[in-house]
Amino acid sequence: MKRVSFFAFTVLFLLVVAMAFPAGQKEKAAGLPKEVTFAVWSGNAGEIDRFRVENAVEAAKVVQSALKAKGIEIAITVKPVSDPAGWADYKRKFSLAAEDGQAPYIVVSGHEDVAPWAQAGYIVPLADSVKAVQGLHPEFADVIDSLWNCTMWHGKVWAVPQDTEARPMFFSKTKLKALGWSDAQVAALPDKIKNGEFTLEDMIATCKQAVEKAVVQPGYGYWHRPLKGGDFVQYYFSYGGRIYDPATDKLVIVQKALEQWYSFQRRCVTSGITPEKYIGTAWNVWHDSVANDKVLFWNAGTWMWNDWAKNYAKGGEEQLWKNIGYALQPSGIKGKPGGTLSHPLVYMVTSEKASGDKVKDLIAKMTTKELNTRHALESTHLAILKSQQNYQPYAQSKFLSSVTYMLNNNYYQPNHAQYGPWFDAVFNGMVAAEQGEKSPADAVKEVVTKLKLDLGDALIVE
Amino acid sequence: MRVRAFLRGLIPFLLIIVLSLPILVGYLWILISTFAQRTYGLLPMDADGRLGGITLKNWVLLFQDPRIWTLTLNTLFLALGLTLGVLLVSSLAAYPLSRIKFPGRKGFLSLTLILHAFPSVTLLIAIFFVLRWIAKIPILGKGIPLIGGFGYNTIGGVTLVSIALQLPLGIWLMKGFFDTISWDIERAALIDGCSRFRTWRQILLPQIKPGLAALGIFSFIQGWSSFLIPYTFIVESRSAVISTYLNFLTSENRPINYGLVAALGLYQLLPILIFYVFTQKYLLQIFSGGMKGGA
Amino acid sequence: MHASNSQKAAPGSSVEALARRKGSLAWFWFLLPSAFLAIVFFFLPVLITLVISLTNMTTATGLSGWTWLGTGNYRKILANPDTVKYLWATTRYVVFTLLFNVVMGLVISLITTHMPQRSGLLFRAIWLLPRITPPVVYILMWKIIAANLPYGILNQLIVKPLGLATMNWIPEAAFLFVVLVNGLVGASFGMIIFTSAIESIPKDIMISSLVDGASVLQRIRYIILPQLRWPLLFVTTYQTLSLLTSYEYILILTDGNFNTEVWALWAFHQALSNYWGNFQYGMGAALAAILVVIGVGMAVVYLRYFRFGELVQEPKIDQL
Repeated sequence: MKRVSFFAFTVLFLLVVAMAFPAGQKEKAAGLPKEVTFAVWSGNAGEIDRFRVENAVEAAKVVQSALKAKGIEIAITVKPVSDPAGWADYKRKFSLAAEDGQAPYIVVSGHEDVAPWAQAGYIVPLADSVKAVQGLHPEFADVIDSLWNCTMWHGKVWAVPQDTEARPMFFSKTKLKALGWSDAQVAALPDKIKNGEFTLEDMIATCKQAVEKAVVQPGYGYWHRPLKGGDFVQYYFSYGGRIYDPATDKLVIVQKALEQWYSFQRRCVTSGITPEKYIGTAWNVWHDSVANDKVLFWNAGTWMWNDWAKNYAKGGEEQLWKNIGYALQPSGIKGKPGGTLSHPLVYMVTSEKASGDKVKDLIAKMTTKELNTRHALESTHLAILKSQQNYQPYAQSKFLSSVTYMLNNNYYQPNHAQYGPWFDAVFNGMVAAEQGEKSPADAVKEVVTKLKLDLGDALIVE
Repeated sequence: MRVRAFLRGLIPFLLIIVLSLPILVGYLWILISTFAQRTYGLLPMDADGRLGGITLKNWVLLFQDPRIWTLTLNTLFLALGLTLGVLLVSSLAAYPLSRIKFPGRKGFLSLTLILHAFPSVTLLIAIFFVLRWIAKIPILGKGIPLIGGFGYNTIGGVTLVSIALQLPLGIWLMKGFFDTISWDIERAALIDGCSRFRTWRQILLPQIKPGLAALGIFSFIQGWSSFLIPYTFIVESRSAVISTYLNFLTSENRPINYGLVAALGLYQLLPILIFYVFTQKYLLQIFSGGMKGGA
Repeated sequence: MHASNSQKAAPGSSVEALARRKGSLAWFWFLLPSAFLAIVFFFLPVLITLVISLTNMTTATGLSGWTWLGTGNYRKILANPDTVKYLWATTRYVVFTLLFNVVMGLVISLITTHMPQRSGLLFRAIWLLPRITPPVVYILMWKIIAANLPYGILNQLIVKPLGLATMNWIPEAAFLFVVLVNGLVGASFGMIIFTSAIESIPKDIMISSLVDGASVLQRIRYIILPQLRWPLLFVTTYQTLSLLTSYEYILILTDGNFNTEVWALWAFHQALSNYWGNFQYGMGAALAAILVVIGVGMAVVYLRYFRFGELVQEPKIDQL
């Protein structure tokens, strides 16, 4: 009796465990050309960005009927997967699945993954040049030209842009007026930044003035992100730095620009406009302060606008429009135009087997102004197509359409497999310099040492 | 005299309340924030920054999301499976380690303690290699129905890995409990002709029910909050657990609803709290078992 | 199975033979599942990780396109200007948090066993909360405790009423917060162990000592503490190892800023969370390898120094 119950118990245990997850199903390559199943993955995804992968469902129908019109009968099914895990976990899961041959045919990730994943053999190139890919489909030709820059690696095109954003410098119009600026001056600020007439030095001076005149509290003059992020390299660019040398396919570190950037961050602290130990502030604290007009200048992303309007600003979006203006990032050198960083997400293809052209057809049909706009509006991202800017639903979004001009002055982080370590070393150096642990000059020296250690040959030091 | 005794009885209360202040205040905040639109310190606020804003919205949001039930079920099955597995394997191993003489006994015991020095998360890639090799074994690797097998991308594989990572604690705890059983009962059983296995199952295991309950709770906690192993090693994304969802809710590039996060956090810890309150009696004994090396 | 039904067998002869026969291979089968799991899913991965540390494996190389580096990664670690800083941060962190864990665990268990049972249970449940709360929520709570006005609780309830300057306290006292945050979680481990040890002291000894005129404090010193000798040693050993390999709370609280990057966190940053996705597996493995060596070394020291042999008594049945 006891023996029976023991074994029954063991079987029950196995059943309990087995019921936990449905057994994974491998994607079958189209053995018969009659049916094809595509899985499309996206990471860090939830309600508001579900269209990244769900657009594929509509696109599949379009492709299917187009093929039918040509006399080819194929059933195309799409499995959209919006993975809620964080980016790092998602990318690692993808890498392991790719190693085992279980990768989805289409995967969404940041463009920075093009280099490591291409090098590892997880993804395949889509075309041999920008011209070639633009010739494949009219939708690809419709993509804003500069966006293709972030899909290139070693001369080939490896991805199709999915969405993009910009990281403007926001400012408080009300506080500028309290400082004595006229309406006209405030309205002209974005252009001045664009032309390089208003530089980072001018910003520091304005903030100092605001603190002295008690228009803002000390330490509330200029706020950057409270956590690690790509935004910070904007100031490296502002001082004339560059990260990548396309001729030699190597990463670059420009010591002069690095030092000027580090000392800029330090000067923000010593002038009393930014708190010293600021990195690590909680996000909700940060959002609440900037959305409620407590800070004069701050860096943020375009996707935060909706968050402020819905969750933080006391008067909703109207209050934002009343108080807040935005512009490109000021440059550090007089006369140098301002710019902004964009970090597009892209579609990548993982296998030649994925019925070759059909995958590209599918992606093309996902890249239409209708489908992309529906994603852009829902998740507050910017247009990627030239035709989108005049497309009614997009043009109707006041914020999105007014901020899209920044895409003409933007740049991207490079597609280089070692960019990650480059960024980590440079960012840690900036934190040390900003917090006064090291002088900017010392911080630069140490960063260069570390970069040489980590990157070896792949680095040019200027 | 009575007053003095009463006052003296108060001392431990005062002491511990002072010591527990951070915890008391902190969890009070968590509770309040699940019922508020936002908070300024301990005060609930509404959207316009005025005192008030008490709302049930966060809890409603939590339970309205259809995913929460799948997540809970997944988490439950994983936790239960892990618990049963750890109990079985640990109690099997602890018996000879406690009661039978064999070569390498001391070595195995020390090794299980030392295993605890390995940071399991940095072993992920290596575990992937192992799971992939197992997947290549015919039948056992990938061919078992229902659980898929024991290799990469199977439930069996994930379960085995999770159980293995719990072994250091499990073996030491169970061994401690076995140590407390009197030799006479076992001696009598063996003399009467019971096999070791039957002795173990019929005589000894019932004696350490509190120990089993205690290890069970700790394994359950571990399984209930586990995320990395099931997420990384099962490709099918429906294997998400509550922890996955919680991490996602607090990721940066999206609006974070702090009330919802707090609600989900409370929801995740409540079952464990309930277990604890019920089994406190047994829990106290675990480590007492692990402590005594002797009778 | 010749069961001899006599109560006691003659010493030597049949019962010994019985025991020897029964004991011969049974232990092997009992031990097999755990030995198998431990070897396949623990030792083997550790060996593989050590091998990976000798390569330049990253996401970009994939799991098959790497090359041998020999001691390359280890030399990089030695040459890194931050290595000493991280070692020092790790030492400080482990020592102080261990102290907090053990002392607090002891104190809480002593206090809660000197009050009515139900109250003791309540307070122990409160002290268990940090351990069972999802880390993300637990750290969020701490960030709100330390945040600046108007969000922060510490500032709202204590700092401002006292008239002092308010600020976000975490950057100011990052190390203190790291110790507190981890300590409140770790203390419940010792608390539970010590409590059960105290409660297993025979009640008559506890009562009679008071009757005989000892004060409560004297009873603690002369009767309770000696019983806690082994629990103290076990908790210290186990938690040293736990602390060496822990990083999760620090990751979410400060992400290693303000000089709180401990070795385990550095390994995690390198191998598993590189911000732009190119995970440095080889380097992370080397960092983990060093950590493991330190951990194993300390475990060996503890086992020797605390006379582990006495913890493992010889089985009695085979010595009939």
